[in-house]
Amino acid sequence: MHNQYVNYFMDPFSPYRECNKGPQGQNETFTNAWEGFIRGNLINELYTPYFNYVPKEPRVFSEKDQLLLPVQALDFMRVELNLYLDTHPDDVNAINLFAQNQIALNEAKRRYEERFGPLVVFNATSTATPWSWTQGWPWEGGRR
Amino acid sequence: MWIYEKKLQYPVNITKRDLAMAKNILTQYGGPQGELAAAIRYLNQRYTMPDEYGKALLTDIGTEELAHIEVIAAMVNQLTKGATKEEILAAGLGPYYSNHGLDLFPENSSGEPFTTAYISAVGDPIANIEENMAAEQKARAVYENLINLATSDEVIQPLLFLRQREIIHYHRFAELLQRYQEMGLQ
Repeated sequence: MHNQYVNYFMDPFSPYRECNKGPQGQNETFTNAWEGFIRGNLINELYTPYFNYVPKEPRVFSEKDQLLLPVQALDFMRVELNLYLDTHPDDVNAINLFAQNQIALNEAKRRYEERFGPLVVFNATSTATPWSWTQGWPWEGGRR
Repeated sequence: MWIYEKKLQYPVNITKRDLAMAKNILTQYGGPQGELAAAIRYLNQRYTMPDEYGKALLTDIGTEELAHIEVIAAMVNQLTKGATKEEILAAGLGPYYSNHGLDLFPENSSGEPFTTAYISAVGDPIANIEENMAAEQKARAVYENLINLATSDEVIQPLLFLRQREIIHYHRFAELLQRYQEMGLQ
């Protein structure tokens, strides 16, 4: 993926690398978090492209976007595994994957919040003034 | 309870205004196959599901639909932000603007307002789940119509993402239906 803002290859723990970890083959039940997120579907046998439309990596307009992407990808994996486990509660592989993913997701969130403030208000532990929660809402988009 | 997280489930970065497309996409906000109807329908049905698995699935899909409302709202907002009088009139959005300005208002692309009739709840888990499966299929079809109409990749990519989610939800509901049929519910 694009590397214009974060030199993640120098990083001993890279949320980006975590997103791309794990099996990607079509024989597996799940693809990795990054591919799953890009196409909106983690489950290989249920992925049905629409005609010739090809899902693309989202464009990034800032370092903030760049650090948020692994949070979005890993959180997507969390959502998808959660739904899968609702109807496959005995799938040990999926339960283990969920637990591993949660560690990577928490780290990706920590890295984002360190630079750009809390994603959820109860993570607002900084005592810096002014109160930062009010700044930056996610629906505004990138460049206008 | 629900907790707000300051991120979209899938990023929306639309750099070019397109009021006609905003009007088309609005149907997935407040139309019959829209995300608002889906979220309320599932979160409303979950209380009477016959077992814990059904309650879990309805809660979790309903919660994801809340995130989809936000993605659709972001798309409409970014497609209309800063619109001029000429653009509003050219897109046939004069009547919409008269009533709502550029605020979001849940209605379909033809201006029919949201109605609680979209929130099917008939007191029968099999009928409710089959309704939900049909709703997911219809929402997928509407996303395909919207993708057919879209001209910009900035619009197409989030729609492709949301279309896939309808496919996943459909299959999860189908699995729940099968479970209840095997339990002897009719």
